[in-house]
Amino acid sequence: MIEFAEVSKTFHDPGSDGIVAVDRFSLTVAAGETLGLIGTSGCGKTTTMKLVNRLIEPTGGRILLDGQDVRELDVISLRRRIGYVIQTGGLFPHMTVARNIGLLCEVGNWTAGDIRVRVRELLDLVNLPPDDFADRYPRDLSGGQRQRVGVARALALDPPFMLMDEPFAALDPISRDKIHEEFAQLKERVRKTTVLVTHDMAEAFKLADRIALMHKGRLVQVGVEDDFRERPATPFVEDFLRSHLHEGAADV
Amino acid sequence: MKGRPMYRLWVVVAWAVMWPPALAAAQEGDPGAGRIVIGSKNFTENRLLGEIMAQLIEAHTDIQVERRVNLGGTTVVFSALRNGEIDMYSEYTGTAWTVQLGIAETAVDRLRAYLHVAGEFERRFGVTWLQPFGFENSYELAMDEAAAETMGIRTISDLLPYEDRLRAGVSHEFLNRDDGYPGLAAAYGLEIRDLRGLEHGLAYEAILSDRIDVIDTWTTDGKLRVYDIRILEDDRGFFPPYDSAPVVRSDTLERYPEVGEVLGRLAFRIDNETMQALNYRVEDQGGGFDEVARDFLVSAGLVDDAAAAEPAVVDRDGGFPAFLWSRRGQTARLVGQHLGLTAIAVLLAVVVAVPVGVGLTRREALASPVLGAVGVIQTIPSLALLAFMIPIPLLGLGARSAIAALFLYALLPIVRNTYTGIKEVDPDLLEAGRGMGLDSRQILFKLQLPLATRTIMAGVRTSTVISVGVATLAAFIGAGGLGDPIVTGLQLNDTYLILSGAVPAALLALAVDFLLGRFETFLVPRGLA
Repeated sequence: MIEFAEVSKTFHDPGSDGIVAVDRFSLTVAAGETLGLIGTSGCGKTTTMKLVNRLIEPTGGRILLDGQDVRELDVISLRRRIGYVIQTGGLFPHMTVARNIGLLCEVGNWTAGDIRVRVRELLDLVNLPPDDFADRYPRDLSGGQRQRVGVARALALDPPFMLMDEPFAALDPISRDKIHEEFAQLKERVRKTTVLVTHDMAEAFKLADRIALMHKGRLVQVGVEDDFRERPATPFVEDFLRSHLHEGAADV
Repeated sequence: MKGRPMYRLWVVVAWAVMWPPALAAAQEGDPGAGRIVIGSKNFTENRLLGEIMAQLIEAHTDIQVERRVNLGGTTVVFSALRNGEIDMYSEYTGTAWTVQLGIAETAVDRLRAYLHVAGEFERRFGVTWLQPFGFENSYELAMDEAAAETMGIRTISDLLPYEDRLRAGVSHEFLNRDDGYPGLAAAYGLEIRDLRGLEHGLAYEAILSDRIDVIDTWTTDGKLRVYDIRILEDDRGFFPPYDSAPVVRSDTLERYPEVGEVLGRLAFRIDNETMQALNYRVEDQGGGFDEVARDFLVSAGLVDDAAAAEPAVVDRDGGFPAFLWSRRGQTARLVGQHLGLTAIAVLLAVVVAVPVGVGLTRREALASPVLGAVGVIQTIPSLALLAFMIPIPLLGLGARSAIAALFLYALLPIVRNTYTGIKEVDPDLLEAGRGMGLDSRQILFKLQLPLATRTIMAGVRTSTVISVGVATLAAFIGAGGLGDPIVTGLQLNDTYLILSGAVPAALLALAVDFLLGRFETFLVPRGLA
């Protein structure tokens, strides 16, 4: 369970009054739930997500992970409990697929044999045949394959939480549809408490159990697909839905 | 050479009166074995005198003699003497008068110059002047004989009307010493417009091919026998006398009194003509220093013929390849020394510079001052940097100083490239690493350093190639390497000898760069290639 309690983040640039990126954001993500965090670019959704694994520290409020304030936890062990997937996959170009996936096991002093077994499991999980992919380098992978490896890497230590920052945004529509399907299945097999940041409403409807829409740092509406379609909270929600449902790849 | 017998007598008398302890000790000399180091400046005569002293000591005592030849100019060799890096070398009274003692007034007679210099050295530096060899090697100005005749120039004063037209090329030491051009110009009111520093070994060729008109030379220069050169008379008596004598650390003389006694046998045994002939044999007849020194000592009856060893055979008639082949053993040894100096210096530089470069990425405020500071080191002329190392404790003459200087030169490219290479790593990758829970050490060793390998290695390659080049100058401070034949070849005006150092040095730089390129391919992670 992830609880946001009145969380705020103000960035202080020299010479300005400060930019409020997140403004008193309160929300609870239930255990095993996938929350879609959505909004236009600059709305504060990525900042909100990074507050969870403390890539950014809040200026107000608290975030609780299973009841513990994240700022009271050791930052390294906190992050190892939270799988992290970013837009371009963030794969390390100097490491093979197998080493990318097994890196956290490697620094955790697993034996080489245990790492190999775990890497094969994870590659199978994301539908990449291990014999074919384990020894490739990231530059030899397609965009969709890179994202699958990114997801597998995030799952390496079987963390209870996942943060995903627009993981599928850079893919072409065909790959994206395919990976959406796979991800939906994967989600059923490995239940993680997940925050999925996206700007694509269709993706959010497809993959998230619940959706939180942000605008200018504030939470505007939380709900499921029907809530948004039938009971938009504000005119902004209506506009957003209209412009973001049928965009395909023509965005970013 | 006026009044020579009187001068000689007085020197002997004065020496006997002023240094009775040394003489007394000499008589009861304990012939116990030991080791002394003989140095020399980087020109033929001085090196030859060093060799003569060395062979004489070897022939008559059990002391082991180490030779540290070609030690840069006066400053380098004298600071080596004061540090105890060397025990003796041969100096000139006029040089000591103006350079070490810094006396501006140069009008002084031979005896007064010798006595004053000897007394001051004993008092101020703990260095003893033994009795002079007997020859006087004064600085002179010289011109092509025919050109001087046409212009009617016989004396230095005669140059004055031509000072705007003449081109002068003088050795670097002469250019800067008070008893060289600056003092001379002041004494005569002479201002040659076109004046440049020139390696003395090249001066005669330059005058012959009409590139320059006036050069500096010295009385005993062997080349004066070959070239048609007119020495200009010092009509205002500017140049001080330059009697040459062994200068020895006084504590060395106390420890090995027999050294003073043995070297005393050289007193007044080498006159101007003899010295010039010896220089000529080395420079223009291809005589080795050891061979020429031994022949002199044998013919002067100072050592037995039987002690003479066979000189090394060097092929000069078969062209450069044959010459190079005949020196292959030496060359291999020099390449080994050269590589050793370079490799140790660069390895030390990597060990220091990579962590410094990494540190700078974490303390940005220090980056520009530190990069500036190591950048400044690189602007120090190599020879000066080498000379700076000599007085530093634990460095001194030889390999350690050379390694220290090469190390300092090697720092900048490695520090800068490490810093840049790490700064250039994609910030998204670092955030991915931090976000997945790598700590800063893991980020450094698993991500930043591997991703910056190519840039860091480019810095290491640059440093190594620079070091291979600069290491040729290490010969000036007695560290050996491929600079040795270059320095000696320049003195002797021996093109083959110069090339036998320069060609392998250039090939070495290329080879090392190539090998490091291969090593880089091996080091750079495959996914980045």
